[in-house]
Amino acid sequence: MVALGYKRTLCFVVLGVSTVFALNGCSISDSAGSISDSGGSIAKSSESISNSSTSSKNDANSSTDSKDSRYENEVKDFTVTYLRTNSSHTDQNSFMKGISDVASQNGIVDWEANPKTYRGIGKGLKRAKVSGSQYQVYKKKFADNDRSKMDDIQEGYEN
Amino acid sequence: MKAVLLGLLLFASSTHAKVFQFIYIEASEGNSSGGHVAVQLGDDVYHYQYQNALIRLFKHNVDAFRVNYQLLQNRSLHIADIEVSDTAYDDISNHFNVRFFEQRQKLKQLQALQHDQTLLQALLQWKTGKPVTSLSASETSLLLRGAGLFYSDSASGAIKKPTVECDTTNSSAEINAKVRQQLENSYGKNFLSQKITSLSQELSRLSPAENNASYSFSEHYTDTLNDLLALQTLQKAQALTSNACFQVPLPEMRLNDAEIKQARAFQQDLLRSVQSLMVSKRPDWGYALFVTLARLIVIEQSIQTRQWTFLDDTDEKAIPIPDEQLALYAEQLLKQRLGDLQRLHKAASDLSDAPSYYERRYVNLEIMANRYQQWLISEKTSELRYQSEQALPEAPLPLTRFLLTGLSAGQLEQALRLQEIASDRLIKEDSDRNAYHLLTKNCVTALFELINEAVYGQSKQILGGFIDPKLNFIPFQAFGSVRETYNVVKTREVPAYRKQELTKMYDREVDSWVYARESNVFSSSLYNHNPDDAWFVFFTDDAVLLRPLFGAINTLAATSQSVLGLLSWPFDNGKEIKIGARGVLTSLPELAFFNIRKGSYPYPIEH
Repeated sequence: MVALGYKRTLCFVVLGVSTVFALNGCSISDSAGSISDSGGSIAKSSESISNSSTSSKNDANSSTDSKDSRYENEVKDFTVTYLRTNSSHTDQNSFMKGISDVASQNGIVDWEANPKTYRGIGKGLKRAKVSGSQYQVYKKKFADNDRSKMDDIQEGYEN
Repeated sequence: MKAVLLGLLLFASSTHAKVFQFIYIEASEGNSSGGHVAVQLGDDVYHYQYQNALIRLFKHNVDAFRVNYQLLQNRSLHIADIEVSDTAYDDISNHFNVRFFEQRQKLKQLQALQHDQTLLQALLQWKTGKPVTSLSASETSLLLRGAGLFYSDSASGAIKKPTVECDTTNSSAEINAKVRQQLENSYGKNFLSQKITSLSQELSRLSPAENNASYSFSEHYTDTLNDLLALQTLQKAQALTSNACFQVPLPEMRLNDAEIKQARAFQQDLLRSVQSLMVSKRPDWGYALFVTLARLIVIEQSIQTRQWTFLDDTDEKAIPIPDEQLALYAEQLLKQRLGDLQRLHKAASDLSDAPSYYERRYVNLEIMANRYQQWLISEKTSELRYQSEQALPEAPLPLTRFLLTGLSAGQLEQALRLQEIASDRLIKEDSDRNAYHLLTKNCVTALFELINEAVYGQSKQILGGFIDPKLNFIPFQAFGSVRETYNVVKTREVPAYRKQELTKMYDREVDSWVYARESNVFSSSLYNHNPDDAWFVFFTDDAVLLRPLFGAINTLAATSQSVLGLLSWPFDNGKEIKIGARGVLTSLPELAFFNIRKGSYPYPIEH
């Protein structure tokens, strides 16, 4: 912390140096120097060469249960943010493409056959505080009127 | 009574408090030379980065962030824990997430407009009989996901010779017959041909006027074309391309009778998926169909040969590590390879031991096999695509080879003009909103603005105080303000990789010997020259008194690189001279006792 105090006094020196460098106090997003996407190249890998623990989405070491709950939670998060940013005009195609992205990152191809998808949507609807008739409309829309999928959404909504 | 209530409230607030982190990353050579800042909420780290003269919000997993800054960029992280109520934490977290998602949607809209233009230009060329050329860099993004599993990109000649040939003619024929029979039984004899005709007509009719910002014309076109091609795969009984799959030549990868029985059961699940995808309303069912069919085929191949065959899910964008770099980390890489082999064995035994969650376990095995396969390939190619496997195979193919439209040239030209106007407007809006400015709109000011927005003007009540972004635009100054203003309950430093390793060495060895050995790039056991770093001789981050002297030598080294860069300018496009000049500028502050350079590492490696 002493070092920080020392640096504080050199605040304007640093600013000057940074300006002269024509560089900036911000990280630059590029393929080598940033981790701005989740591609698997080494520069972007979240795993160190000698450390086998990993936190990447396709983490092959975590348990099957935790992967499943992670998927459900990611669907929930996607649903919440989607509803908050598209409250006036939800487009079914764009919603389904978003779910496809989440499923792909979790290694799931046929997400429509996975009950976790609909439980995640139900949790998202609850989290976004959607209720009453509006909830019923969304439930039917996202489940495409399929009884079993609607039950899964309901289960996620109630738990 | 009031005191009791106050006590209860205080108790409640203390039991329902959470912390989030404000992170200051120290300065170094290269990007963010003046340092950097970020906010951590749970496992997510949010920070603003400079991108094409604009400032953008990024979200990363906390471990990936640490690897990038602490290990690769070798910078120390200073972390302040800020305490807020449970509700405030959720509100802040949601706000950051929503802002990130909003930005992603806006960028997606912008990208979609650019893709629309590219597609319309390509369709116009195709319609007017001109050769369809690569029109812009974004053209490469108009890709058909999964199509590369069955179609080779013969038009562009981009396909490379497979490292391992994979002939699936027999298993493809077997699966194709099964799927077609199943479709006939469920949906009638002409289902496939009728669906293909209907999709072709839909594709011909598609017009930009019918799409919206959420689901663009190019997205709709790409999805429909992918659906059509996936069905044609079935109609033509196509086998996988020869580089779409591989077999792992290990005895542990052989299948016994029980494993074959399990694999057959999984095939039945996949066949049910094929059936439901055919009538699915999800717009990208073509991609799902490609992957499902391909998996059915490789599983059939595995059953027929009694040896596991897998789809290649390598990310082609992954940058291979060249042989000379691999040699620098030989010991660590050998350990990693052995670890990957063990993980592959474990994934195989997990699959056969526990039939529940079969699909999950199969995907895990596929990932592990792909990871191990890269080690085998590296023996032949002398380069390694390190951990380049993906959760699902992408196998993208440019769509320009399969163009089809019923729109006239006039209609296409008009649509193109409208798209250009819309695109220009959106780019201008984006630029007005997010233009970077060194002092008034940088990664620090943007982060404080976001924090202030997230607490809805109640900074004092929620965070303990207000930080004005206009007055706090330098990373380390911002960290100081956070410590003084917000409810900071704890601060700590996560030392940079080199610093951390030096501490371990000082514990094990004689201090003066470690210092002498590690002080310079020639004898350092921790540092191998990273081509992205400018030339330098001495590390000055841990040498305060000798810093000006070391700085003078470093300046000389970087100057030499610039002079040599002048000579190599015609051959490297000025790359060396730029790095050398950056090195001079990074070394000069050392003359005044100020350290910026830390030395960076090209690969995430820990000793």
